[in-house]
This record gives sequence, C-alpha cells and structure tokens, in this order.
Amino acid sequence: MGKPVVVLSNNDGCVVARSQEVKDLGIKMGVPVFRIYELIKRYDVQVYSSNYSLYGDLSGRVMSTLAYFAPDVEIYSIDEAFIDLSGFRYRDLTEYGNEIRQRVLQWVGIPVSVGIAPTKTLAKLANLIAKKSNSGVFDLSVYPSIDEILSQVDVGDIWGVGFKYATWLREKGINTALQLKNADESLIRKKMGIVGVKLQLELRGESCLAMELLDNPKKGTCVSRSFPQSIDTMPELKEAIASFTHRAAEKLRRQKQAASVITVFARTSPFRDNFYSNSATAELDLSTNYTLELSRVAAQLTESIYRKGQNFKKAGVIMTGLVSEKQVQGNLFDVSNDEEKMRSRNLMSVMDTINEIYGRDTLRFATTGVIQVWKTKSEQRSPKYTTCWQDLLEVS
Amino acid sequence: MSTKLELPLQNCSVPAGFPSPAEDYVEHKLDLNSYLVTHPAATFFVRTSGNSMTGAHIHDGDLLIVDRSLEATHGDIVIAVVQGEITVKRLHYQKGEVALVPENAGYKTIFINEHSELHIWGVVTNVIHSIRPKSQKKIRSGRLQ
Repeated sequence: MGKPVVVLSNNDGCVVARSQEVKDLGIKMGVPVFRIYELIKRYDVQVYSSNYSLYGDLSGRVMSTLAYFAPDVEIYSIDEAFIDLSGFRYRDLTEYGNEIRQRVLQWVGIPVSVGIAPTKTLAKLANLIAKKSNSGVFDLSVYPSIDEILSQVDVGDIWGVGFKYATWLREKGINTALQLKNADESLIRKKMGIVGVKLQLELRGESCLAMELLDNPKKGTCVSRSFPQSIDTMPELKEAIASFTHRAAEKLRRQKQAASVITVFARTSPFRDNFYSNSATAELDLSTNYTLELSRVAAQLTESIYRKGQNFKKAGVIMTGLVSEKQVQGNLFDVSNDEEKMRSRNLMSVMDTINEIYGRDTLRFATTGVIQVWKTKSEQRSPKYTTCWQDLLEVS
Repeated sequence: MSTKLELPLQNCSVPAGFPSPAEDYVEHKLDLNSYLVTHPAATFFVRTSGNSMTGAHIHDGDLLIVDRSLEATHGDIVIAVVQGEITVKRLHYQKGEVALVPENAGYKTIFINEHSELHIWGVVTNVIHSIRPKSQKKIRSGRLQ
C-alpha cells in the first residue's frame, strides 16, 4: 500500500490519472510517459494502461448504489454524479453524506468524496474541499461563512470556468470565486454571456442549473485513438478511421440514435516539429446509423485531410446532430427503397448481435483492415476483474 | 419538431386456426441472476485456486459469488485480506477471538491478533461448482457407448 500509481491514456501515451504519491513527485497530468521514465524507475511507480471495461463496470455500480439514497441521480461523467437532496431538508446532511460514502465504500470498494451545497456549482466546490478533508464529506450550507471559503478558491477552479475565461478574469482583477460572485454583472455578461450570469447566480446560492436526468439523449459520440506507431499512408489512415466509424456506429445503434453530422480529424504528434492537425465535417442528407453509409462519408473526409509526408499519431470520428432512430426523416433524394433499408437494418442488427456474443469485431467490414497496424497498445492493462470470465480475481 | 401520434400496428402474423393454449401463460425465462444475486451493485465473482476449503464444498477452480453488502458474522465464509494476501476462509469470530479457518486438515488456521491487518473484502453466498470433470470423454446423454 502507499505505492505511487499512474494510469496511461489509450495507447499508453500520456498520464491520465495519478495517485497522491505521484502528484507529490511533481508528475503532471497529461505528461507523455516517455518523459518520466527516470522517475518511474527511481520511485518504482506502478504503471497501468487504461482499462475502461473495468472502470465502466465499477462506475455503474457506484451510480446504482447512489440511486438508493435519492430519487434523482444525474450521472455527470464516469466518476461524478449529482444527487438531489432537496427532499432531505430535515436530515443532518453531513451525516447522510457519511452514510452515502460508507455505503459506496463497502458495496463497491471505491472511496468517494461528497460535497453538499444549495447549487451545483457550489456543490462542486464543496466536493473539492471534501476531497482534501479526512472525512471525505463537506456540507457547505452549514458552514457559517460561505464567502470566507469562496475567497480561498481560485477562479480557475470553478466548474465551467476554463483556461480562457480564467485568464480574462484575472486580467480584470478577478482572482477568486468570491470576487467573481461580487463582480459587475454587465461586465461578466458581456464576456461570458448567459453562462457567466448563471455562474454568478449559482455562486450566490440561487440554483439555476437543473438536474439533467438520464432520459436526456446524448448529444454526440466520439471515438478516437492515438496510434502506437505513426501512420503515413492514406490506406492505413482510411482503415483506422473506418474502424473508429464502425465503433461509433455500433454505439449509435446501441443508443437507438442516428447521426446527421460526421466529423473526421487527424493530427501528428504535438511533441514533434511541423505539427499538423486537420478535420473535416460533412452534413448527411439523411441521418443514419448504418455503418456502410457512415464509412463511405468518413472515407471521403479522410481523403480531404490526409497530407503526404505527415506522420499521423492520432485520429478520430465525431458524430453529432444526433436524433432518435424513430425521427429519421426520409428526403427527396433518398433513392434507397424500403426493402433495401430493411435489409441493411437487419444486417446491422445481426452484426451487432454476433459481436455481442462472440466478442468485439468478430464481424466487421473489410474496410477496417486486416492487419490493423494502428491497433491500440495496452500492454500494462490490469485484469478486467468484473467483466470477463478469464480475468476474475483468484483467491486461495 | 412536430409530435407524432404512434398508432399500434399489429405486426405479428395471426395464423388462422387453433390458438395455442400456452399463449396466455408465457412467463419470462428463469434467470439465475435473480436466484443468486440480491445486490447486483455489491456482488462480485471470484475464482478459487487450491484446496484449502474442500470441506465446505469449495474446490479448485470453482466460481464464488461474493456479496459485499453483507456484514460478516461468525461462521460466514469470507474473502479476506490478511497482510496484503487475499484468501477465502471461514470466519471464526467469538468471545473476542478472531481467526480465519480453512476447511481442510492440510491447512493451518490463521489467527488474527492486534498486530495483524485484517480486512473483510466480502461474504461468500454461493459456490458454482461444475460436476463434470474438464477432460471428460463426451458421452451422448441417455446412452452409454
């Protein structure tokens, strides 16, 4: 116990998660792993590849455990959720937070921190404080002076204030959350628009970001990877993009959604000279989640961003303009007849079913390649303890 | 965006003739999860290795169902972490005495004192044991050949 641990991004490229011991060594978020080999050796840092099926499973367990504590749970990301405690006004919320923390720890084995406050923005700040406290729970609303706390929070640490806004705010002499709370509204509105106004209200304790519950359909889906060795030929790049498209289309079908806009991007290594990055977007006449249709467009887009002599290190596809499968409107120029549509739908559903039973990519289109030079590296992946029979924990 | 009124469309074929008497009694399939798993969020599967628990009908390679939501009490079979090692044993917890007891004469009881670090990882609720040896000649059921 107490060993420094890092987790690397897809392809074992950069550090995406750090244990406290690693932070104490001064290893920064996002640093490429080859830059810290020295430290890794010297301090015996444990290095792991990302293992998203394990993280996804544990995340789902945490979220469903939270659902025991409040009727409304908003899953904000893989490791963050908001729960609405407004119906629990007569309980000691710090105690309730402790209960939640204990329950998740016992059931799933994941330590969580709980921040409690009247608004989402303040709850995020309360959570920052909870994370650093011994108990892991912090209720901002019972604290005698919220302003005193806000005066100690850097403006860049506020939820929704990105690097760009933080820089601008500091130029205007607004360095803390308290200063933002009390800043001139018209100034904030001019620069940050309605988002800034809402932020100020939230900091003053007026809740104006509603709970977004699960029935909100996703707005976009993205599949991207960096390559273990760089890619410099058009066929290889097309192959890689085709398989990302194949994966994204699978995701869409699982969510019963279709995309109307597809974006393809590719870039070279940002750590080398002559950095090149480009993207191209196409709007589809007809929203679809049919792999072949999406691949055809993705291939054309790939041709437009490929540059000879560039060593591509990362690429991806982004599907946006998502609509529910049910809402897909036919259009005037859509010549495919119903029978053909039915056939492609059946083909997709057979393919998805087979891939679900026999494992990812058992069936795929030849355009995604046979050799797949760009296949992701994950040499240090921890076992998929909870999602794969072969990887179960062994006890004796 | 216009809203659409969906009208139900009978899309299964209706063969003329004798209706199936079972039609109204179709139940969903039996699901082992509902029989074996009470708290899905807190339930984990682990694989055993070795023979320290054969007396409790837990054999090498069996699958154990572990529920972390249960409080371990005296007599439970538990997954425990002792001095950083993970093990499956029966928990002895009486009169202030704590021990992890194997169910096989060839193995030693692990006594827990104030110097040893014990963490109960979860309580074993079921063991899934295949009663067919792995390298078995395939015999068509019903007829010995």
